[in-house]
Amino acid sequence: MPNQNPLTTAGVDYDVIVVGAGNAGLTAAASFARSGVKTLLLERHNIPGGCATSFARGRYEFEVSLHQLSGVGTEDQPGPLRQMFGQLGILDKISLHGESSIYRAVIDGALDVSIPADWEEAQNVLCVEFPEEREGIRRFFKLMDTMTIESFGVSKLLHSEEGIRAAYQQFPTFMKYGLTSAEKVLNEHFRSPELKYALTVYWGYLGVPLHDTSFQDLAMTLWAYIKTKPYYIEGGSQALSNAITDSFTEAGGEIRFNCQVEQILVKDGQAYGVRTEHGEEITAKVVFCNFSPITSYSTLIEPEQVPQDAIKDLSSRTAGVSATTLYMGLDCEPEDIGITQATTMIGANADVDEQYRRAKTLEPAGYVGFTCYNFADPTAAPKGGANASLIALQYADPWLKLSPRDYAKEKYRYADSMLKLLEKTYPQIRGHIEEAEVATPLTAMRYLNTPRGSIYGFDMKLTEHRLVRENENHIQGLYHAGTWTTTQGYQPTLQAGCTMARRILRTFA
Amino acid sequence: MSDYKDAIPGYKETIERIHNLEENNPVPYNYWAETAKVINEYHPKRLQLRVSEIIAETATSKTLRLVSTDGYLPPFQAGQYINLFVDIEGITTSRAFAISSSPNTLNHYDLTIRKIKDGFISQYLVNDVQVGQEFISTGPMGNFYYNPIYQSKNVVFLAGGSGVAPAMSMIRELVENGDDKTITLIYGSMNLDDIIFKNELDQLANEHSSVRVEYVVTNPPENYQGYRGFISADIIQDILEAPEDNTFFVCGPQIMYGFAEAELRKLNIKRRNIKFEANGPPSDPSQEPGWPEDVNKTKKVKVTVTGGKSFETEAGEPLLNALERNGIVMESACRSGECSLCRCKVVKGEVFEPKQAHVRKSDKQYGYVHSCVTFAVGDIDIEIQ
Repeated sequence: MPNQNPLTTAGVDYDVIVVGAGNAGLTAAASFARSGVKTLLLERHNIPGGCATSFARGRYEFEVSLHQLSGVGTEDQPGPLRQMFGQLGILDKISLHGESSIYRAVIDGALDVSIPADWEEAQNVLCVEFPEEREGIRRFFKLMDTMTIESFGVSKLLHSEEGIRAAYQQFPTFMKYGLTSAEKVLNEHFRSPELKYALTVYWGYLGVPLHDTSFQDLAMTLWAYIKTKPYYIEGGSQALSNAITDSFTEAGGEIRFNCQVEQILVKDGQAYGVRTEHGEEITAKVVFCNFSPITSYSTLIEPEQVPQDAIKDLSSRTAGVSATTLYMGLDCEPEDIGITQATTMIGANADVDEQYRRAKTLEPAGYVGFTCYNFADPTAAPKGGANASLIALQYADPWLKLSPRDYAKEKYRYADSMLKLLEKTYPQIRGHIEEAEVATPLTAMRYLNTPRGSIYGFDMKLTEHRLVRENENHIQGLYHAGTWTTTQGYQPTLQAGCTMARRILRTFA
Repeated sequence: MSDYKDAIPGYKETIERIHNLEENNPVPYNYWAETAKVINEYHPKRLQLRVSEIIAETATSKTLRLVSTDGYLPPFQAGQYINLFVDIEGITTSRAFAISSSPNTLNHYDLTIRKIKDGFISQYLVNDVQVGQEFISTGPMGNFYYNPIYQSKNVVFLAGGSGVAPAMSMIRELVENGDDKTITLIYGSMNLDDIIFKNELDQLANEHSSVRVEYVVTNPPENYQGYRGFISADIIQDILEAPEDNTFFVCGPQIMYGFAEAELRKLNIKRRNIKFEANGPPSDPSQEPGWPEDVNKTKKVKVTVTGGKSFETEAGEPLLNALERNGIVMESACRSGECSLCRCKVVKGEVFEPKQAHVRKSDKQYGYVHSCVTFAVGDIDIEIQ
């Protein structure tokens, strides 16, 4: 049950205005409202979710962005996300389905292995496939486990000199490998490029090449999916967005759609409200932004109110990768064309650096992730059909150089290159497409209004690591949470909203 | 600087990288301006249009040639529409019209409109609009277009009435670009003089082997040599050598859709090879499967907007139209149940939604509807958030 309002709200319209109903905006808004805080949620679209949404084409409803939800865990051993869903009161509003395998990793002619979502079994499968590297595989998994557990423990120590000095003793693996690249650690353990690739196909979830990815990020990603299994939500991510929205409004929260914020009101270093596209000024003690600090500091706040520190912070960070996605409704069941599990990650070769280089060009895709949603959610497609998506990481840069007149042609040409890579694994798929739609980085710019259509926030290079950067609050009463303040993906962003809300609620008490 | 961190492997190098980045980019890149530019170039929310020319096509149809008042029109794919806002008799409403001009011609959009009997908006647009008049519209939208990734290079267009407009755009683009596609237009009209674009179509078919045009006339003169009746399986079979190798696009009045679907099924055309254009709410929802038997479409029902007004409407009127008639303007575009812009929540009471309502599965769970194809069959309360 929501608590009593711990605050007085004299003088302001709301305690908190949450701007943006993406993952973090929704979980924050629900956390606030369920704590009895008077909360207004503003969203520029007519539907909540941001990326966490779906759209209909013909007989199909396409999932926009959720491929695999990590951190859920089973009912007996709930992971952090399932626990959070419980706290938000949405567990009885959604249906969660787990998968038994994290992915099938494929390089045409060189690698084809399915990794089970089980810590021991995953190692066993790799040891059978690469028997000469058994010892390295065991050591690598042990190191990932230690790294992940230490990463959870070290968090509270990172904000002070005293803490850091303690961390050297208590969390030596984190301190040793936190700023070490995934590539370096992989090279210390393995010889086979295919084995390395089998363990790094999730680089697509990280968005930067392995030489600039912290080993910590790779370890925690694999750890989360293998240990807590990939999950899907019946009805897709929109079902999650709608459930959190419902929980928010049940607790007395107010939501306004089709309401873009055009200004964050700041005076004397203190945020005190927003001005909407309709010209209305709404005041609050806290303005909580579920969008990029770039947007706040470059556009929504009057320049004279923007602290130099905020500008300096932004100047060393770049908007990260976006994606091109081919959404497909198929007129056959997945098994009819050889698809036997939800996720297939395909590389044209084992060279991640080359795949990343291509993500900055319109050259044929070198790496694609394929998801077939039927396996975890049998209702994802009409009877006898299949619902699938194919994604390639792409920076917006080459798309921005196109003339708008050439865009449609290039979009289809590029998506065709993605499909050709997929056809090497599932040769019959093209002949079964009943509905198809292509989204590019420009589509992400349009619908998400994000810098460069970034889907992961800032490029998560080593220069973003917690050991070298803290997300500071430059303006009193102004907070940011979402993919621009944390690691990318559903679990981190959903958690970021709750975590930041809890932090703010403590300042209210 | 924080030397207590210096013992962390990689720390000093990473901090130096950050400092170099800060020094090299004293002014952060203006991503915001860039995003705004992309949205304006590709998908501006609204277009300000002026009628530059009115072309009489037939006794009942005209083409409105629309230019942008600021000189820029965004690109579109042949087959897409714009939703044109119209103020008539104090009511703000809108209708979606397919663009009939070529996507290569972006100095204007042509909307080819045919008067529908009792059609409130089409009568106005065909009868009353003058050159120089200004309109507001959405940008181009919709997904009734050719997708080269999986569709056949042999395209067949089954058009009825002004449903020829998107076909015209595709044909014009094809002959201009010289693609390796072919288009066969099978065009149904009630009478011989209802055929829109006849001269241009005949000429294009004569000059380009990639274009073929066949007319099907329901009420032709006695001595008429061409196809008579409706676009049937027999006629399609007679025109096409191998119907199953084509992708079919169907666009016309609603009555044509069920018929065309059945005829194409007789020819064993796979569902993946047929695309239907959205074309407004059902004109008589009580004829749709699932309409409650005990409800007459003229039944008076009361709609209450939470925190707003209450008004009376008829069960057979789309909720969006009823809202507009009562001065409540919602965002909308396709008015056919597809685009989801007119999404709102029914919190109390019974509604009817026809099959064409493409409502997201989880939206249904919480009572969200697409108001353009939603019919209140009893008193209802709705929320417009």
